[in-house]
Amino acid sequence: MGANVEILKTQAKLMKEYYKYFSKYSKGKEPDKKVAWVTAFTPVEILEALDISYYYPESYAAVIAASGKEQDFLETSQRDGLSLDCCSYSCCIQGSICNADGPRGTAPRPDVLIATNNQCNTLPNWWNILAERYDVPLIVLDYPGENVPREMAEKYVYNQHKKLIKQMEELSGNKLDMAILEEKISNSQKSVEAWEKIVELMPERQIEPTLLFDGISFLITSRCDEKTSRLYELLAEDYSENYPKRQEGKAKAFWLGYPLWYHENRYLKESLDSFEIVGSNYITWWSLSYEGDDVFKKLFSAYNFTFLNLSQQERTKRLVHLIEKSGAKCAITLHNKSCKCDFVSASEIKIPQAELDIDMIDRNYMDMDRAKEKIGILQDIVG
Amino acid sequence: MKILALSGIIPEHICDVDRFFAYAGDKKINHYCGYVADYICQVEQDDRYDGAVYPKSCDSCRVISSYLRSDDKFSYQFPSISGNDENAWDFLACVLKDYKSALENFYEIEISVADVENRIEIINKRAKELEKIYENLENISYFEYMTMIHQVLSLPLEEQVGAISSFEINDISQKDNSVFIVGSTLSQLNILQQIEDLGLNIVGDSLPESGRLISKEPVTLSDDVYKSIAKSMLSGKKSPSENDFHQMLELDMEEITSKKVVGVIFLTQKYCEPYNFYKSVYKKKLDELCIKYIEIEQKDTVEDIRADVVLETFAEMIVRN
Repeated sequence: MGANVEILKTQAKLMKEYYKYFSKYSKGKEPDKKVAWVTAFTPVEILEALDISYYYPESYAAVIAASGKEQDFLETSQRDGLSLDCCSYSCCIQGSICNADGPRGTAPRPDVLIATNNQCNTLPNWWNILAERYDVPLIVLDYPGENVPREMAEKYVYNQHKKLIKQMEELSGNKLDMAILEEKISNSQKSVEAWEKIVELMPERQIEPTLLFDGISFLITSRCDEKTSRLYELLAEDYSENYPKRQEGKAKAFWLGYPLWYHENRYLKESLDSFEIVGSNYITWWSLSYEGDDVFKKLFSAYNFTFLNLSQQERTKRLVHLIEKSGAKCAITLHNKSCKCDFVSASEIKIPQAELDIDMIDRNYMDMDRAKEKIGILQDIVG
Repeated sequence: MKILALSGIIPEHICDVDRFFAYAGDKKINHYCGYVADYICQVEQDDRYDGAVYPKSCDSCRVISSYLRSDDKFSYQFPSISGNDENAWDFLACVLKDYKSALENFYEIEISVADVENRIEIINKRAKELEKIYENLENISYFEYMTMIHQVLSLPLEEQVGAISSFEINDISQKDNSVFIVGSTLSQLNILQQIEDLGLNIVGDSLPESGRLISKEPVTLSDDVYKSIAKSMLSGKKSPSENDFHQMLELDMEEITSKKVVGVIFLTQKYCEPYNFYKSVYKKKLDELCIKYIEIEQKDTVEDIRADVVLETFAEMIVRN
């Protein structure tokens, strides 16, 4: 089988597995496993090892925006009492639930809701209203990040993970096999390593950010699946062999912030003719570091030190490193109305930036004229 | 040592902290709640303060430390704790010890267990005194009660219990039209006077400086004083940022129905996400109980919230029924 065919088949298989119980495809069939709705940085290796299905409402909000349906859902959500000042991922999904509609229908009803605060505090709040709606147990996992000494945080997180395992064993009726958990973590590690190879190609090859913004979805939804690392290895080979090297000429820019999910290219391609995007921090957010000599240490290390859970100093350090590696001389920096936590991530980056006010879901939010003006100024600065 | 604390989540058991109520800050951060932005401003600009302590409890709070990075002032952020079990108590106890050590190192002081135990006794006594008044809310002016609380909480802890009894709060004649207040820390008290002037009787609340403060279980002195404080801090009515809407709704609805409340006034800050999420489910609960609801949103801590027309309409609806 040719590499391209294998890539397409693997992508299709992973998508099919993830979406098979969404209402559009399930033909009324109920899932044969217990269902959890989780936030993007949940230790899903535990759920995988206990044979529990899990879905990411945030990711589905991105799919909804990409399909062009988000405005209807935002309006419905507001009518249902949720302020549009809230994160638009939550508003978009609220609208989708109320309308019982979406490009792939709706996700299977949850048996449990699991939220983490290693990314933001909005998600646990959002999960609280989902818990009221579905009347199912809500589990909130706290990850203190760098706020407290490591040993203290590690013990707290370890105990929460142990408790989560117990709760999920009760829910699923399955007993955790530590060897399977090890294997799932190992799969996630391999997925991250393979994805990193793709990320490293971006500065040198003419790879559109669109490919990576869309391609990372498997690292989010299927990182514990062994097919994911295989897929990324094939993609890395393809990009490395078939995508030409970058030429000198255009100004090299770094995309600092979220993809614009509603945009067909996920970034402002039409306004960035004189720039080429050579890097992005968003595509590294799921490059979790599973370090440690046992499963609990690995899970702690991966999920406690996610990018948005780091101190400003550490975030700056990581961003500076990424930008230097990419060779970018300027940045398109996004202040996302829906992500206050990321608002100041780039505040200490010392390269010229066009700072744009955006929302990653709501296409009507950005003032495009103002954005173009700022990009024009950046162009004048970097020549 | 003068420390400005943000929110009711910050403990007073270790040392004196001034609760932040309002400041005319000039830092306006897009989509951040004015309460946090004004707090950052006061810490940065008000020379009376040499320290700041704040939680990581919402997205606006989460990045405060990105702004407050001067080595000249003490700065401590409490992590967010959603649970209320042995693990959460042990963790919070460790955080409290870490906070104490950070204070001792920065200010070159020593805080003994006896100091902490002494403060615990005062806090327990204060809660009892406030609870007595709270239980009689339907007969007294709520505006005067809250004015007293704000003044008392601005005093050093050791003066607070004595100060409570020195306040005289007037009885009111209006005993019908009972309403309940929900929201984050009140920065402007004038809204309460407007509510009372319209003939509404405020009989309860879940504000951090009142209903939530007195709902905490007293700290029981034990071998591990920090764990005892932790248990108390995580007890009682919570803030939406502590992620237990279910418990909060249950406790509020219980109080609202037992006090025969006919209307709820939701006082929030613009861009306060925890309350924005919370109010969406709160309103649905009230609709089920046929209880009227109104929301008044303040854009920052110094905005004069004269919500005359909105409140008048709300009051008319209640009085008419």
